[in-house]
Amino acid sequence: MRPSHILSFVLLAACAAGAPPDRAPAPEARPRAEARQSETAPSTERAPSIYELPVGLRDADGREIGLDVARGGPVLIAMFYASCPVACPVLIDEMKHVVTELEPDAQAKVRMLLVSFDPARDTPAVLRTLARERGLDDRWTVAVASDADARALSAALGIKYRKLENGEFYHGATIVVLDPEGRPIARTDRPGQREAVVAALR
Amino acid sequence: MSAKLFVICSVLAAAAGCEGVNELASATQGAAPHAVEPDVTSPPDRRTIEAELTDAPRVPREIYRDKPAHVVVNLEVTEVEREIAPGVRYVMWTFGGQVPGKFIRVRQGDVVELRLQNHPSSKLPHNIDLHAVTGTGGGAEGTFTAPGKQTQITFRALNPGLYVYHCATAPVPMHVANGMYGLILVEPPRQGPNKLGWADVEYYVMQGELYTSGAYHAQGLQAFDLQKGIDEKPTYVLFNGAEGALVGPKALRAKVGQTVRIYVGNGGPNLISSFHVIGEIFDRVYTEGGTRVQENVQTTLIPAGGAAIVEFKVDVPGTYALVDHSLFRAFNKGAVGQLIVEGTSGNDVYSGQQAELAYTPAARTGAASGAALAAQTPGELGKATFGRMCAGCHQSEGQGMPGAFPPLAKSDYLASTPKDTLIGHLVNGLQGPIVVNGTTYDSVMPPMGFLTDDEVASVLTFVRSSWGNTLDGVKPADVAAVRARMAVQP
Amino acid sequence: MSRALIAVLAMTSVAVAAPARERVSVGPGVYRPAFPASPSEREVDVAAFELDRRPVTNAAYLEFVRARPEWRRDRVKPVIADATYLAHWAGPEVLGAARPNAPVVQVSWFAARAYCAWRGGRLPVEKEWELAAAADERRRDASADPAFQARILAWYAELAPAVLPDVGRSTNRWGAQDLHGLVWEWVEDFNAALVAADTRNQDAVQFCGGAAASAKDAGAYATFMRFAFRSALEARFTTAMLGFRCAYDARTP
Repeated sequence: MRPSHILSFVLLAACAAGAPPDRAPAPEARPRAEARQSETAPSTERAPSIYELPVGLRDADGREIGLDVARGGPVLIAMFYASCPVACPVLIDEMKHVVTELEPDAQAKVRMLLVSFDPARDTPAVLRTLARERGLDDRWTVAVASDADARALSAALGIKYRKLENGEFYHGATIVVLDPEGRPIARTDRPGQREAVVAALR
Repeated sequence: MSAKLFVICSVLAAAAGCEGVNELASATQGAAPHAVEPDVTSPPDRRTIEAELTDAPRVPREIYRDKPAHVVVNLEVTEVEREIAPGVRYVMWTFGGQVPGKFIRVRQGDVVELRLQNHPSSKLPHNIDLHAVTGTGGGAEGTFTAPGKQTQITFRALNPGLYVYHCATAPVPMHVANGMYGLILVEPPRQGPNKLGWADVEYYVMQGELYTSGAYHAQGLQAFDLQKGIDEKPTYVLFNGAEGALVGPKALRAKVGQTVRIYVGNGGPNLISSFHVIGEIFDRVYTEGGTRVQENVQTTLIPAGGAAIVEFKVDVPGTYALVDHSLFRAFNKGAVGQLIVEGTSGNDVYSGQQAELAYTPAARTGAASGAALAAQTPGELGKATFGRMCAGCHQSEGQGMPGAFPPLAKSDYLASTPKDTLIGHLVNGLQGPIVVNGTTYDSVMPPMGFLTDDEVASVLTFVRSSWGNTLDGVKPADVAAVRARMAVQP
Repeated sequence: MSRALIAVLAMTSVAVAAPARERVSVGPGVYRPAFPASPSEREVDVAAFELDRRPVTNAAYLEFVRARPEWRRDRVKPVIADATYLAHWAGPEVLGAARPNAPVVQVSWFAARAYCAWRGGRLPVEKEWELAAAADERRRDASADPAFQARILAWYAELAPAVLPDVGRSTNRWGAQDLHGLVWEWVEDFNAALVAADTRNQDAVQFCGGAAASAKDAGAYATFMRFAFRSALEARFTTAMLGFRCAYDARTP
C-alpha cells in the first residue's frame, strides 16, 4: 500500500474513533437555545405626556402659561436656575449644539423650554435679562415654576436637583426631548453625550 | 488515488465534526491553513437569541456561532431566605433566585440586551455592574431598578474572558455580601486562536463570604453584621452560597479520563481565594479569567471580584476536595466542596496505600525498649544487638582486631568455653589475658548487664552460629539462671 | 359587677373618650446628615413642624379616594401613577384583604402629595423626615449610635412580609410611630437624594457647585440604603413597601 493510502486510512480511523464529540449528558434535555426567538416584553412602557401634569409656569413676561406652550412639535426641555455659575451656561450651550446638528427643517420645528426651580430669585425680569444675554431667540421659552410645581415637573422628567442650605442648588445637566404630545422620548444627562437626543429629533 | 481518498476522508471528517482530523488534514496538505480572523464586529444577526441562563454548578452549552448575535438576557432579582448551613438561615439577595447568580454565556462580539427585573416583593432597589461591559459603571447606572420595575441596557461584549458581575447599589459591599454576584463568560470565538479547548464536563463554582451577627453555626435566621464586614472577618466562606452546596449528593462529578473545566469566580466582597483541588493539579489555568494560559498549577489566586478557569484531566477515581487553601476557611468556615471521580483507573498514576507497618526506630543509648525488641525475631534481635554492642570491637564479621580484640569467627575459645561462662562475660565483663585461636589477648570487655535476657541469649546465639562457628544457641532461660546464681553470690 | 370588669369598662371608656393624638410636634432641631450635600450642610437647622403620628392607612386613603374619584385606580392619569397604583386593594374603592389599619402602599409621589394637600398639609421634606427619624425610643438624636443603625439595617435586610401589619408599632422620642421597620416613606424632595445610581461614582461634572456629595461616615449604611432607595424612585412609581405620612407647618400660636 502506498504511504499516502496508509495516511488516509489512518485519518479515516482517527476520524471514526473521535467523532462525534460527546459530552457528559446534560441533566435534562432542552431545546437548542439558538433557535428560539425572544419573547419577553420590552422593558420600558411608553412614557405618559407631561402636559397632563397639574403644573403651571410663569414666563419671562410674567404671564401664566402651561407646560404645553410648544405642543404640536418636538421640544427640548431642561431645568436650571439663573444664578448658576457653571453648569447652566453649559446646559444652554448643549441645547444650542443639539439644534445646530439638525437639518434646517428640523431646526425650524424644534422648540426649547427652560424652567427655573428658583422662584425666590428668578423673577420674570431676571429671566428676560438671561434670555437676552444668552441670545435666546423666540424658539426659546424661559419660565419659572413655584417650588411645589418645580418639584413635580422635575420628578416627572427624572431631573434631580437639590436646594442647599445656602440657597445654591445642586443639579445635573439633563436635557429631555418631548414628542409633539409631550411624551419624553429621549434624554441626555451629560454634556457632550447628545447622540440620542439628536437622533430623536431627526 | 491518494488525493481522492484524502478528499473523501476530509469530507467524512468534516461531517463527523472531528476537528482534530481537519487540522491534521490541512497540515498534511502542505499549504498553510487560511488564518481566519474570527468575526467579532459585524452588526448582529437580525434574529434575536434568548440567552440560556443556568444555576450553579451547571454551565450553559458552548456557542458555535461564527458571527455576533443579538442576545437577550432576562435577569430577575429576588430577595429570598435560604438555608446556608444546617439550621442556619439568611436572607440573600439574588440574581435569579440562587447564590451565585445565573451563569451568562455569550460570544465575543455579541450585542447583549440585558433586562434587569426587580421582583415586586423586593424591599430594595438593585442594579448590576458586569465586568464584561465596557461603559460607565459596567451597566450600573442604566440598570438602577426599584422594586416592581425593570430596566434595560445594551452592550457589545468586546473582550473575551470570564467576568464577575455584581450589584452596585449603595451600600455596595453589603449587596455583594448578601449574595449579589455571578459570572458572565464571553467566549472567545471557536473560529479563532484563543478558543477554549475541549472539556468533557464544565462546572460553575463561585466563592463568597457571609458576615452574620451570630457565630459560625449559630442556629436560626441570621442578620448581616456590618462591623464584621468592615473588619473583614467573615463568619462563613462558602462555595455556591451554602455549606455543603457541593458536597455528597451535590458533589461535582466526572469519570476517569475526562477533562474537567471549572469556571471559578470569587464574589468576595473582601477575601482573595487560594483555589486548590486536593489530589489534582490544574493542567491549565486561564489566570484571572483572561487569555494567557499557565500550566501545571497547584493553587491559583482568584481576586475578590475576579475569576479563573481551571482545567485538569482526572486519572484516578475517588473524591477530591475543592478548597480555599487559606485553610481555616476550609475547615472552620465552610470553604470546601467535592468532585467525585468514578470509574477504574487501570493506570499507574496512583497506587493508594500499599503497606502499613509498625515503625520501630532503634534506640541510640542503653537498652532498646522492650516493646520494640519484642517485635523482632530472635535472629533479628541477635544480629541487631551484635551490630549495636559488639561489632565496634569485634568487627562486623567477627574478625576482631589483632593486638586488641579477639576474633569471634571460628573461635576455639567460644567452642571450648561453657555457655554459662560466656553469659557471665557479657553480663559481667571480662579482664585478663585469654588465648583465642593461638593468640593471647589481654584487654577489657566492659560489662553489659543492662542487656535483657533476650538480648544476651540472642546475641550469643547469633555469634555461635556465624562466621564458621557451628555451636548451639543460648536460651533466655539460661541467661536468667546465670543471673539468678550471680545474685545469690556475695 | 366584679372589680376586673369595672376596670376593663373604665379603661375602655377612657380609650374611647380620648383618641390618640393624630399629629406630633417635631423640632426645632439640628439634623446631622450622614450624606452632607456640601460642607455647609454638616449640620442642618430644621424649623419646628408637625408630622402625622403614623403612616397614612388604607382606611384613611380610601376616604380620600371616595372624596376625590379622579384618584381611583381605574381613573387616575398614568402621568401621576403607574400601572400598579393601589394594586393591593380588591377594587377601586374596596380594600378586600388589605387591612384598614395597615399603611397604604402602592401610591405614587403625586398621589401622596394630593392626599396631604386634601388634609391641609404636605409631604415632609427630607430633612424634616430625617430629623424625626433620627430619634429612638429614648433619645431625640440616636443617629450616632451604631446599635440604632444596626437595628434599622436589620429591617432593611428582612424579607418584605406578604401582608403588611397594622400601624402603631415602635414609638420614638417625638411620639412618632413606625418611622422605621414598617414601610419606606415618600418625602417631598425625594429626587434631591444625590446618590447616583452607580454610587461608586460621585461625578463632579454632573453637579453644580463643584463638590460631589459623599458620606461623612461609611458606617451609616442604613442611611445609605434609604438614600439609595429614594434615588431609585420616579414620581409616578408605586411599590409594595412604599407609603407616606403628611407634615404640616407648625401652627402659629
